[in-house]
Amino acid sequence: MPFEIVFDGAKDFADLIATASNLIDEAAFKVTEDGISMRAMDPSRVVLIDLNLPTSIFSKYDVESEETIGVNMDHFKKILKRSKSKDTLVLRKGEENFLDIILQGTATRKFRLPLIDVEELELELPELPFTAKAVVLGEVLKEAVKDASLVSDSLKFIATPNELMLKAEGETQEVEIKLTLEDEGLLDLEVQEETKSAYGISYLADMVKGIGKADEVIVQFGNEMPLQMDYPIRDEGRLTFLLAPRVEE
Amino acid sequence: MGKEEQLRKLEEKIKKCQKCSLGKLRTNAVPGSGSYNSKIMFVGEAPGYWEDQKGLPFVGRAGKILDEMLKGIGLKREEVYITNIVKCRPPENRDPYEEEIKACSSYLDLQIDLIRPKIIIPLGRHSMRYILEKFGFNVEPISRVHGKTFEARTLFGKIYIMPMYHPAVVLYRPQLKEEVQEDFKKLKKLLDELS
Repeated sequence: MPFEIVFDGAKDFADLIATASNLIDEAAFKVTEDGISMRAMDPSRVVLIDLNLPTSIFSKYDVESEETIGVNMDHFKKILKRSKSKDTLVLRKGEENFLDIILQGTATRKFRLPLIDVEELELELPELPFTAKAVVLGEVLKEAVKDASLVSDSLKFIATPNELMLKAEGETQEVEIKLTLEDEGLLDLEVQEETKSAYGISYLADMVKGIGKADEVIVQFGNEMPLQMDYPIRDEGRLTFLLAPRVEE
Repeated sequence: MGKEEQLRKLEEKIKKCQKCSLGKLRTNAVPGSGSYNSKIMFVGEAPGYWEDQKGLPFVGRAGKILDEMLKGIGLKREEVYITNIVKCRPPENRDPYEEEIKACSSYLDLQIDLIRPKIIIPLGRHSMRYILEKFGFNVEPISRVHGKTFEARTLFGKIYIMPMYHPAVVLYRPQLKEEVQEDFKKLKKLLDELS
């Protein structure tokens, strides 16, 4: 059998896939002896998703040989959505071109998902010269995106050495969210120079959906440069988003 | 793997593709042709009879119009990249079906990612709809947006999208030839601004 992987707390895995599926329709997951990884871009090439799940976050990780599996994210999400938080998730692939998704709880439920051929691009995660880096609580970002969506379709990130400001301006309304290191929501701030850049709210909303309120999210950006957002998955795993800046008319 | 090798590999894959029923009906798949380093990518709809025979895009009568328009702004077809959304000929030159576009469009997406053109010219309404929707723009009738520039800011930088009428329009509505020529002049101006 090429692999059998077990994850305790199926709901967490479901949330992760649901977050990615907001942005991408299909994905190729690389299953290797080091863990599961996936890198993909949304159709408009505005967001890149990089997922890294090391073997240590799984309760069982048996991989016979390296394998890349292509899945329709919407179908994968819908199956995983049927899980309950205490369910154990088993991902199993045999010789056939199917992924067995098994939810073990009060009963054992087995779904069979056909695998698909996904066109892959060798994508390097670019090293960008970010000039601002902040560590913020997931809750702050989630609320800021909700606040901003009331007034505008873009959110400006402004960093100065002592403050991170998130600002959205509509035609008649505006909202400002200020964070200093005195605030519980801002855990760290490193700013090389005053940095400003705006990003699309709809993309940000999709990106923050799966973040836990207590997660420590690393946000990095530069003047009119992409924004990189990293957040941990069970401490050792990581989900990274790279979001292109919004054109300011 | 370098960009050229990835593109060649992709073209080989397209030539063998059987993702939809058009794969069984074609003589040759038509992956695309031109410079892999071009700043401009023309995206037509689907191959016609001559394209299917030769395995090359825009080699029929519409292709001659395209060559003439390119020449008019000092460009040769080898200097641009030309492809279609659907890489195999639909029978009787009918419009491609939605499922055919869906099955085939990932090839175009990859060609765009690898070539990274600065300007994409969708030719005709089907191509325009796919490209504008892909980059998050609202779709309007081609009669309203031809020659207009849309700016998409992607992770690869800014991409300018300028929809145009399909060159074949000049064959059956000659009165539109001047409008097509005007659009090519706008393309030339944009290209000059970017150089």
